[in-house]
Amino acid sequence: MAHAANSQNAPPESFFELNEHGHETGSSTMLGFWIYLMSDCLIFAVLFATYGVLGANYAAGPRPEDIFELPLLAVNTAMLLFSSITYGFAMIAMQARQTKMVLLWLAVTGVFGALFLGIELYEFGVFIGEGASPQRSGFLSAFFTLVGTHGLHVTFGIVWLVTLMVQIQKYGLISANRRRIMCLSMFWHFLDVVWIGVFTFVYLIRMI
Amino acid sequence: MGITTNAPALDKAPDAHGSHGEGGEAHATLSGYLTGFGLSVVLTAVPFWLVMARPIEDGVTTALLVVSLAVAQIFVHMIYFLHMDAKSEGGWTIMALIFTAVLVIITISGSLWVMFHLNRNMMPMGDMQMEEPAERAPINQLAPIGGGEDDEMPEAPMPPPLPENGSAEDAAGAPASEPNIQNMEPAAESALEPQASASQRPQAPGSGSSEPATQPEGSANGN
Repeated sequence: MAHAANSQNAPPESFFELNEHGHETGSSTMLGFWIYLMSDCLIFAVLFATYGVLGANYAAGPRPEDIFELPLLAVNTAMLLFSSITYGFAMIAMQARQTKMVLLWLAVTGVFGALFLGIELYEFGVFIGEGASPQRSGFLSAFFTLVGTHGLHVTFGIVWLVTLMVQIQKYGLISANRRRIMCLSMFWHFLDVVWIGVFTFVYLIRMI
Repeated sequence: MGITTNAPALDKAPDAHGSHGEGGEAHATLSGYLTGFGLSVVLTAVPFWLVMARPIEDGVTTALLVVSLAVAQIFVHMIYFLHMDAKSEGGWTIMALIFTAVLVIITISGSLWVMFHLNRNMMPMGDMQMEEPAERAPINQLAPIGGGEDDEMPEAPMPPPLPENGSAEDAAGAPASEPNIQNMEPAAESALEPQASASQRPQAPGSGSSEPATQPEGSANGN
């Protein structure tokens, strides 16, 4: 009964609809996605703390200086950094409404992301081949969990990227797609921020 | 721009690229991205160089430099790539970020702090033995000279004491029993412990009148 009464009151309904257009929707999506990223940040914080606590428990197994290859890490870091700037070019192309350029830069970003993943998987393979598998010691468990979680995020970022490219190809740069490009931009740059922590605290500090 | 820009704003300003933010809104700009990228390359290359070439011998200095460069790079990414500023979304993104940063700091530093002390106090044999020779020598020298050296007593029980010399020092305080839990021969130590402390504690007020701890008792008896 209350619903029926409310539905006859035009002012609240029209007021609601007026505010529903574009502006509010896109705006709240961005903030909501940012809060998701912050919660993701907490996951990584816990994994970093785990690595900090367990990082010295080698169980007489391999130590960081035995397995880490800094030149390979530098190449890997460069891949992710390049993918960040190419995503930035995609954003700029999006603002200029250049659909093909957006697709091109997104593709380049995806290639860099895939290269990053490939190098990381190759690194994992070498480690495990050397006997430095996740179950070897607390240090390696924490290492594989932290770096693997980051790699998983990049994997899903690439899946999202490919999905988005299909959508852009199909529907063009409609406002929904632009919003998705901006969300993925935040996600992608956020992963690069996390990687700064990884290469600094997981690798470099332990090699000093 | 990811945070601040929304679709209608873009519709009104389709040629916003290449120019800086309009009306307080941060738009993605080519110069902004290139600045961020250039800074990031430098802030990534320098720590790698610091660790791989080791121009600075001191490990602590190198580590501090590497960490501060990483923090600087995180700020660069936040500003130039994630387009953070205090005004986006009416300040809610920065509030969420600060809140998260506080939680991250509490989580990481709290975990490290607690687990470091847990490791220290529950240290298995390996590390206890490593510390032994360094701390044992001065204790053994002190023991025969001055039973009245109360300042040294709280520290003396920390390493597992020798059975022969240790019994005299162990009388000083109850903390002596704690390291013995981890000692090699817990049965032998605990067998010695109660006897030594029981026999020496009553003697302490009488024999060592110079000890500060006994003075309050002495004065109380006198009154």
